[in-house]
Amino acid sequence: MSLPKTNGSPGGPPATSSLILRLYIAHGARTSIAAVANLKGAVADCQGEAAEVEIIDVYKAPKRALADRILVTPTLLRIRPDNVAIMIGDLADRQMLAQFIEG
Amino acid sequence: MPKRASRESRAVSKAPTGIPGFDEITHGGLPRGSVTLVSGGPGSGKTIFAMQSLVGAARNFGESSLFVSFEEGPDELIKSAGNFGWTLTVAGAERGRGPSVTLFDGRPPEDMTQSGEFDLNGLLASLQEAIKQRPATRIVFDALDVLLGSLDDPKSERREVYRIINWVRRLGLTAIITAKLDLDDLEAIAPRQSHLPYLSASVVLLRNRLHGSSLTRTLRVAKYRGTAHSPNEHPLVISESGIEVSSDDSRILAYPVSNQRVSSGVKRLDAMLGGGYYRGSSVLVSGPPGTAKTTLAGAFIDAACARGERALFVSFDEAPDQILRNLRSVGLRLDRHARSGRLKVIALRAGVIDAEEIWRIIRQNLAGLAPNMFVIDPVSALTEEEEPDRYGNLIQRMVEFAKERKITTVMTTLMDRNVSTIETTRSQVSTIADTWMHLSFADRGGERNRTLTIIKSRGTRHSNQVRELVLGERGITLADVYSAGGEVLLGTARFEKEQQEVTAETLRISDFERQKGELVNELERISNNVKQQQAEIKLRRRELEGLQAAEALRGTVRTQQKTSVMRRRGADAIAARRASAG
Repeated sequence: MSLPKTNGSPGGPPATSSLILRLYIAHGARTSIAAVANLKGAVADCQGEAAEVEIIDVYKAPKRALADRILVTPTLLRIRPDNVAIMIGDLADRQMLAQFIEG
Repeated sequence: MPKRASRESRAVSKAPTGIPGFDEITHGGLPRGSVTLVSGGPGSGKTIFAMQSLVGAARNFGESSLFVSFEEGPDELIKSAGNFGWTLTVAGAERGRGPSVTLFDGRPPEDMTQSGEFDLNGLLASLQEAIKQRPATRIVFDALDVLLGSLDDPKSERREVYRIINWVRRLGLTAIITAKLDLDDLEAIAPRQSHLPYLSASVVLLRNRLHGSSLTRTLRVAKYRGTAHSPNEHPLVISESGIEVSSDDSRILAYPVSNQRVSSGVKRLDAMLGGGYYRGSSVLVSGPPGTAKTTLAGAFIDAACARGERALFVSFDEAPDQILRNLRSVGLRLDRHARSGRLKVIALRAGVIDAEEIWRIIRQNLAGLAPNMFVIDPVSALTEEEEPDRYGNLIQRMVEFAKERKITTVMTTLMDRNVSTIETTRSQVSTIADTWMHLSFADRGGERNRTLTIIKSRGTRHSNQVRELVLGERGITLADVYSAGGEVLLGTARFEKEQQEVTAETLRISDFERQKGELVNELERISNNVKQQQAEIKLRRRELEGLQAAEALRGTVRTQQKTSVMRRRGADAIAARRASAG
């Protein structure tokens, strides 16, 4: 399967999104595939929210991984709202993920 | 299969660390292009070891590296490196000139939350980028156990260790992984912890032992795939310039080996040892209390001093005067050697003085007196403490110090158990010794007798027979022992046996003479018979010949008579022939 590098919410202008997420994954890894699916589901649930979700493959963009000091995959960074927050793992817990996204 | 064989037969390329002693122990350093696990408890020097190997590679071999820390922050690391005079570069900082050690902060962010499983692809991608930006040939994963622990699942840990090791190999990096694991015994390690040592090409174990107020550090190479290395535990010191490992093995090989035999002072013992012990060798005399261990050592000293040599006697047991007096009672006049200055006797109290102080005093005396012989009586005072490791490798250090100076060392050691079981319990001392003699008591027929057995003697064809050790007014002598029905006879039993043998011999000789006489007579008799019979044979043969001759003559005469009668009667020729044939 192929993962889109950037998966922006339709219609939402990136600069003004109230929700900005960055998910670092390793292409093809089991936990990464699960995390992408779980995150997509969670974002779809947040109806009405203008979300900007960026999915980054650490092997395709290692410079960004180094810049964000990524240690494990999957790593989810919440850029907005609030301060930067980090969640790692395959995001299997829906409730935890929903709370994390809300900030 | 052939592929595997060729890979193993290929010489392992090694990456020197520049850590004094370590490269000698491993015959060249770390396995290049593979992973070395450095394991040990807190404060055992893992981080310092790992860091020093990178600094050494940068300084001495021009190799740059990456130091990935999962526990300590860059500030702490830079500070502790500074204590040793090492400079570290922080990742992302301005690239300096020449080879460098770059820090990578691998600590998980404090505000990080976890939901579900993850892997370390992110780390490896980041590190690969860091190496791309600042090329490196070596890498350290410091306190990897911290990161692996967060995986919270042995199966995941194994998978990720495998991932890291494969990544290291793919990039051709020389890597050190440090981890706090309880790895004293690689064979008995819990499966949960086994993946790291199992997957690493080599394993270095660091240990800390606290004895009272003094700390002993050691290093041991527990595993090194496909290459020779010292398997021993080596003392390790951390000084202002970093770690230094005592690599005694290489020095042992460099000893000046002497072929000179020196008399032990006991004539028959010299014979058993093939001419005496080697000058500069180490001799261990073991045995239970009262078996004359000290006396035997005294005999060695007496012989040495009588040759004009010098000797140092270090007692962990009795006072100097007491030792000299005791030895005088068995005819060993060591007091005169003490007066002439050839012998120096010092008494030390083990258990009161620590290893370093003992070592200092002994080294001072060995250097000052420059003796030919060095006696430690008993060396077991340093091994039978409540804490067996308190004196660590002190014995080895003393013996090696002496060996380097061609000083013969004689150690006595208290051993109550029999020889078959002591080999393991006193293995440290018995492996150091070149020659090992065991003294013991044998109880037979209400007597206690001392025996001496040579258990080993390196480079010597030695007698493996048991001898009785006899203490007399003129020192020690060794006597033969008799074996009878699998038992060794000593003392009175030996004397009785000797007497029995003399009597038996006399009886046997007379018996022989008697039997010999009988046989000679018999032979003579038979021989005479034969002669008589031969004469008779001759006679009979002659009679037979005479008989045959007479018969032949008679026949001829009769034929002639018949022929003449027929001729006279006018008979024909055929009848005449028939008559002659009949």
